[in-house]
Amino acid sequence: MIAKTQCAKPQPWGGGFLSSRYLGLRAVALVLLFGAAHLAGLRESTTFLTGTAAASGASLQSSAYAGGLYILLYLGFVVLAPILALAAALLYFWERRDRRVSLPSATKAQPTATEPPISHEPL
Amino acid sequence: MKKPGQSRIGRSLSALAVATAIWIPSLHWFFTAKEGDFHQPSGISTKARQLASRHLALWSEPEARQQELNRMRASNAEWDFMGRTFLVWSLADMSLRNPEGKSQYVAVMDQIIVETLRLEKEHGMYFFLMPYARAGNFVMQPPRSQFLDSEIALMLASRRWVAEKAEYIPLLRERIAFMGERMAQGAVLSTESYPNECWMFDNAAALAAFRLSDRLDGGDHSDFIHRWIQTARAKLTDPVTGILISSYTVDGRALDGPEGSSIWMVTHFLRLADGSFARDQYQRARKELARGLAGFAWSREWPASWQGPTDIDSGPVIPVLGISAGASGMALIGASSAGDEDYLQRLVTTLDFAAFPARKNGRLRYCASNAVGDAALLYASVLGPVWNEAITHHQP
Repeated sequence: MIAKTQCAKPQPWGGGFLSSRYLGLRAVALVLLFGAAHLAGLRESTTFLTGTAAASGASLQSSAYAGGLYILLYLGFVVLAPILALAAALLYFWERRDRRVSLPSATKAQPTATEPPISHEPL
Repeated sequence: MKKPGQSRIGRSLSALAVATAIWIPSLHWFFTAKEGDFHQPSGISTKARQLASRHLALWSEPEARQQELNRMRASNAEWDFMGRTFLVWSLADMSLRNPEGKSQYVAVMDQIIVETLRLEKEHGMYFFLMPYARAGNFVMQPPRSQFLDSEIALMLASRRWVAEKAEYIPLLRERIAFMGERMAQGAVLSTESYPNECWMFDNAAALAAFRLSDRLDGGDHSDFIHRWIQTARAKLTDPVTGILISSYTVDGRALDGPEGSSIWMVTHFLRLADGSFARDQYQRARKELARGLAGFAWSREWPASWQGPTDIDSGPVIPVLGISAGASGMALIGASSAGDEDYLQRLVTTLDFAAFPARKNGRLRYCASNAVGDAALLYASVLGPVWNEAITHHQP
């Protein structure tokens, strides 16, 4: 019988759900999306809030769609992205602190017969 | 015992909560202007200069102006008119704040006044009114709109206040006489802007025009203004809040209750008519309509006790918080006029956060606004000198 080797489940590229990487990448995505909307000139369409179309030939409805999208992305950029980035940074530092605390005690513990020996190679 | 995944998610949610608690109260710091950046006691603030620069350019570039007007008129012909009046009133205050620029400002004021009077003469009052003005009959005959009469009178008076012009003397006297006569006939001393619709905004503007005209031409409307204030206190205030209602019929039946898009500007006009009544109304509006959170401030369109319909004046109203773009814009004028620096500063913070300022070649405009909105913002940033001189009986 071939013994099954235990190995950690590989983390997805975007990080595990709500991990620091997961949050950080979403913050970056919001910044990029807002940047694209801004460069595309959607800011002009926010004039729909006054009931005015963005240009004399444009319809109010199309201005409302473009302007509404811009406002959502802007709120994502100024409100949500900084919160995600801050949370990602906090998680990162908390994880690092925990690793520092747990590593020395782990090296002192005696490995049991069923547990694989702890590697001292750099992480 | 907690599973490792659960504790990790719990930790992530804690991090998100901490980050939110840090970021939300800090956000306003990124949008807070320096004190005096918007409105200052003397001189012209940076923002006012940049806003004015754009409007002055529009009046020297006919094509660009026509594009702006077409955009606004497609929604509301009133905005074409009000964009003119706010700009003329602003330029009058700017002439007193910056005497070196006065000749340029006065030339643009004349350009606007002459063109506005020409359009009114050629197309009639309906040119600047919303289409429903034709849907009914004016109670008072011959039909005239207090909306046009009061604001044109204030434009003429403001222009004459900073530099006398003989041609405008009979024009102002004529408007004042029309308004005085018609208002005196009304059951609540008010006259119509639309068929059987008297608007508080326009009738309060008429009182301000009476006061300026009295100072300029030696008339005396004190008795009428006193009676008007008594009538308004008794018959034109909301019974719950004590705030002046927005619109009513010629015989005094309320149509719209108190509204932020009306009362803030009304308190500014009333300062010329009766300072203590204006202060009382401002305090009531401040209590019922002004709201703030985390360094930002805004105005509700309606007090909690009264819910009106969303219309072209209120603009879209954000549910729950009750934020109204129209009312918040007018609140800038009310706060600036009342010298309420704390509220004004937080309103300007919200403006820079949510109205999307765009600067180009030293010109400022707000993308979420339009030409009339920007002209109102300009007025909020420079108002003061004309009113202060008129209140202290200073003769121009």
